[in-house]
Amino acid sequence: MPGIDLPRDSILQHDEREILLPEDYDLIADLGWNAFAEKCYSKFNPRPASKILEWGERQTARYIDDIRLWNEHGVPVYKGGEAFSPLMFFSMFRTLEQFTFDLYRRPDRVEAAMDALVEDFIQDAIEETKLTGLPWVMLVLERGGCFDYPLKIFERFEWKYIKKMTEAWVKEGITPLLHLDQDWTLNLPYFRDLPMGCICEFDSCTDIFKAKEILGGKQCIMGDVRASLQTHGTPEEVAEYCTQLIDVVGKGGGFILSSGCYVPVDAKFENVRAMVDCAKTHTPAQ
Amino acid sequence: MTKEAMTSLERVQAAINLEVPDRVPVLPLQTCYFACRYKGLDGYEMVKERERASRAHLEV
Repeated sequence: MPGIDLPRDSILQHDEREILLPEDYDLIADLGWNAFAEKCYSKFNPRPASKILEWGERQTARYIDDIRLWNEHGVPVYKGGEAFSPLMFFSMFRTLEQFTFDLYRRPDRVEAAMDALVEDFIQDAIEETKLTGLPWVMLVLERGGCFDYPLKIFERFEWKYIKKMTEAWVKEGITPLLHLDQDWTLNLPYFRDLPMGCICEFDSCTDIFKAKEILGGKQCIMGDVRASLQTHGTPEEVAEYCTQLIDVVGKGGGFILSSGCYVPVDAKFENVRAMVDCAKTHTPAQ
Repeated sequence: MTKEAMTSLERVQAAINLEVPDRVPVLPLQTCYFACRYKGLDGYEMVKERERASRAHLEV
């Protein structure tokens, strides 16, 4: 937390710790996610049990307030819910290092826990979209691609759950936004089998032009003005890259121009403006 | 500027449906951090001073 654990002018950082232990896989496999969370929530949230529900409701109410505020200013908000894939979830709460050991040392126990919690993740996200009134779910996927693991691991511990989650949400009329940080270039052929109506959003580590070759006409692609360009580039360089994206990835439709991951805290204002202006002024070469 | 014939929601939905919209939609992913820094808030204020952070985000 800036000003407490970090210098006051840094930004919020995630302190990754081993919150879940190997034996928790078995408990989750028995209970599913929601019952496990109810039983063991103190692992995740330092507040007393009596305050947790109140805290959760307050967070949701604040988000709904923010949505209303933006809408009053004529800006639509899209994200109505957020979910982790089982792999992303365990990687965050076991730590990347320990979770990777688990994949090789106790793969069946990991898989059993993933099988048990995925349905709760699907339903919890659906509930969130109902509360916020926005039928979009951001599926956070940052650690399951070819940068981190071979395809054999991806197929068993990531892909089958991505498919299950997206299919369930699309069936409910929800748009899944796959937030694909890191390199997923070798995984791209799998995404051809996602249900129609998803968005594959890349952060500039994946080759987005290769994504267009493989996913064009199958999935909507979103991205990928890289953080370093937004921070260290010039407006001309940003416009040049955005023009290339619009002409190549935008050809024939199915493309949303965006920052690669989030707009960084130290992005130059004129660079963000150059990105927006480029979409407004440049007509794609069809 | 190109002539806009769609609302932003229609434009994004067209992209999801793999159709060609009136122009390419642009949707930078945002936290309030970029806007807060631009408006001079430090890291602590971005997180703890919700009203100021929200106002900075709207203004930017």
